[in-house]
Formats: sequence, C-alpha cells, structure tokens
Amino acid sequence: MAELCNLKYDDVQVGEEIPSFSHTFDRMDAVVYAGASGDFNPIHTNPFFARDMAMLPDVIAHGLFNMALLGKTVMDWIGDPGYLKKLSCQFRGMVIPGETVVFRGRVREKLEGNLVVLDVWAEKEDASEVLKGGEAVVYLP
Amino acid sequence: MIDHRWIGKTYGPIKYEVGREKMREYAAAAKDYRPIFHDEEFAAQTGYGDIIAMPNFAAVYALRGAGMLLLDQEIKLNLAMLVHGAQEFEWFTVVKPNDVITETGRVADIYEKGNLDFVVYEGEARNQDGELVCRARATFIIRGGGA
Repeated sequence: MAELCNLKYDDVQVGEEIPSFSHTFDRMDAVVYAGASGDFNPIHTNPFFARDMAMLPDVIAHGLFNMALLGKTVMDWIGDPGYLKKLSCQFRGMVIPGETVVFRGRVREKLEGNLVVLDVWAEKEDASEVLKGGEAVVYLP
Repeated sequence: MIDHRWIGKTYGPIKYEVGREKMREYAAAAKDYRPIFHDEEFAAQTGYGDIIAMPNFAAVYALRGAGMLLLDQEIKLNLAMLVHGAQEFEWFTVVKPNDVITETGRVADIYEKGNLDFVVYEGEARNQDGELVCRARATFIIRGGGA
C-alpha cells in the first residue's frame, strides 16, 4: 500500500509555517474553473460585462477557485487529501488577471486525537488580503 | 433588511451523480495534478482503491441549494449587490467515482451589521450509503440593504 502522507503528528510544531504556493491568475483560469465548477457568472469570464455592467477593473477570479488553491496548499503539506477535515476562509480581495497570489499556512494548535489546526490565508505580492481568517483542520498519523 | 422569517427555509434534497472525468476536471481547474485525483493505477495501490475527488469539489456537490437560494423568487435577494463573503467546508469521508450524493440545505441565519445584510446557507451532503460526506456553510453579504 502506498502511503500518501509523510508527516507525523509528533513532528509538527506549533508556529511552524507550511510551504507556500504562489499562482499568477490568468483569465483562462477562470474560464476553465467556470466549466469545472458550473459557476458561469460573467464577472469571472467576460471582461466587457465585468467592466461595463459590474464596474470592475477586469474579470475577477472565483472566490472558490482561490479557496481551492488554498486547499491544494494544505494538501501539498499533508500529502493525503483524505486527512483534510475542515477548511474555511473569508473572501476579501478581488484578483484580476496578471496578479500573483501567495497561499500560506501556519500551525496554530495541536489537538487531541491527532488533529492539527492551522491558520491559512492568501495575499497578493503587495501584502493586500485575498483570503482572510481561514482555518484548516487536518488529521496526521 | 431581509425578512428573518426565511431562517429555516429548506432546499432539496438535491441529487448529484459523481462522474470520474468531472472529478478530474475540477482538480485540474484548481491546478491540482496529484495522482490520487487523476490516476487509477496509482490509486489502486493506495488504501482508497480508486481516485478520490479533491475535497474542494464540495463546491460542486454541496452548494447546489445555495444556488437555489440565490434565485429564490420568494426571498428575492438583490444579486447585483451580493458577494460570497465566507465559506466553510467540513469533510467526513472521501468522494469516489459513481457516488450518488444527496444534498439538503437550509437558510441557517439572516442578520444585519451596519449597512450589510448577511444570509447564511448550510448544506449537508450524504452519499448513497447514507454516510455524511460534507457540511458546507456559505455566507453571502448584500450591500446596502438586502431584498
């Protein structure tokens, strides 16, 4: 049996930062995510609608796309996606094409039952908030 | 202000049949190419036995009732002023190809803060064995007075 998780609960330290993940948003990302998720709101895919009807600077990334990249960041750390028990965040900043977002996490607390709680968030290169106040709960063997 | 009498209004049950390629498509759209989401031969050598859905795929199978809430002609939320403010997913088991998920949802809360109206949707997704798969909680914010 192949093990997906190489981390051990006992090896994790409170305060430890997990490896960050960086992504530069491309307008095609939103077209692909719209198709995959079924969220076809034109503010994500049609620049004319986004600018002229919604008064946005350009199309913006789906909030749930950003949240999925946050999930990926945590799963890259734990290895086994089945060990991700909970993920939450607030959607704060809009992301437009060409902007780079960095997804981050830090261990906040170790609980009974091999559960680890992380603060998770995402920010742009200028440190402005994209995802705020997030929490991930993971199980580690 | 949105009428608080809608708290407790239910949506569903809504059925969703999980397709193998749809699972892969979602993970790829989220830039996640790890083999357990894509490669059956790899997955066969793990305890899962088959590929599993990216947990965030719950955005597809556990929030369909939220879409019904947004378009609910009784509540008539002002969509032009509405943003998705926060999201929470809690998972209890993994999702595999051909699972049949049933979601039931409800308006969990309606409240105001300053000039903002908040509507909270909670969806609960169970699989064909009745096992709880995911609880999803979405908070929508409507600027400038709700309905």
